[in-house]
Amino acid sequence: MLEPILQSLREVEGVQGAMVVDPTAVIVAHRAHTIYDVTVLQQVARAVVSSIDSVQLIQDDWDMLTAHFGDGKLLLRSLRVSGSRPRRYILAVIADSTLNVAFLGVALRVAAGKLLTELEAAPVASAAGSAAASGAAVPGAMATGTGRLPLAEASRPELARTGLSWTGTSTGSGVGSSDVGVTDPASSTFLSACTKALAASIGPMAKVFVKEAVRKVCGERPFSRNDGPALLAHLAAGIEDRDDRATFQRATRSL
Amino acid sequence: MSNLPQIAKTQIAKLPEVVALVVTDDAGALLESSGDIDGEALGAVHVVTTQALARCGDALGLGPLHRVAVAGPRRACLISVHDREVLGIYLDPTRPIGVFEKKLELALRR
Repeated sequence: MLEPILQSLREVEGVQGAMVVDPTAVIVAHRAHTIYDVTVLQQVARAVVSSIDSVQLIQDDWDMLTAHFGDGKLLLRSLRVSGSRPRRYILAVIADSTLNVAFLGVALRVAAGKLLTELEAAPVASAAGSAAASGAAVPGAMATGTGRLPLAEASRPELARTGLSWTGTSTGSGVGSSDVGVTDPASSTFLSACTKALAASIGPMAKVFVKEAVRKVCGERPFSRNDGPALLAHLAAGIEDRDDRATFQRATRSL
Repeated sequence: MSNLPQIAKTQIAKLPEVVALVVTDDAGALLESSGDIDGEALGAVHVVTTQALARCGDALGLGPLHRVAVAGPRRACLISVHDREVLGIYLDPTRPIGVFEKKLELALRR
């Protein structure tokens, strides 16, 4: 039973709500002030998963994220479930400005331990399913904003491992100037143009996705212009929105 | 804060806890970076992260997003939002992030 554990967090002064979210933005359990109805919480769950998708690109072993807003705080704690099928949930705590973060820290550690025990005991498929049966879970989907490239679970650590060890000039003009090896200047130019075209669809994360795609297509060897078609196909396949995918394909046709 | 890149470079980057930092505009374009990082790539990630969290704040009525602290065993990161600029700071994880947040507030006078 996850709800009593979340209720214990609700009892900390300043806490307005708490919920457990799975990696696909399904709310596994929640306890929140009535102003935060299921629709609002589902919206928040999608944004939380989206933000964690990004954070894991730079820090795959994150434990705790604290977001400070003008009128309150949102605290996210990673719940890594071990066992035969490891998976990761997120404990989200919504608080107003009266929250004492130190007090919550203690309650959060205790709650996280208990939640992990409960989640580890539950079968993978039924963690959300059983909660749904009791009315606690909210069906949801991956936060797939227009044109967003979904990150495969297995691909995250590859990027995250690089994290701070990414090398390259901070003022470099293209992907090729960074840690993705290229065979010649033409290949570097190709990657820069590819990043620019992708940015029109998915925004500033384009460079990150191009780097990841190069690693997938080329492995350890440097990228060469001959890998271009495979790279473009890989990137296009990852763009979910049909219009955005078509725009990307048009923009890269002449490369 | 119109001179954030300058403050970041001349003051914040010199604080002993700081391993690296990057300043971008709110579209993810690199304005300044310091330390051994790919500022372009990480800066974009910071912006996307803050945008997603700002959506959480909007939905929950928590007001504008000011700051994000990410803690982990190998590194710590602080992302600070200033009008149309985003400052991402990578810190020595062995030092308390709360103390640094106070130093940063002083440096930025916010």
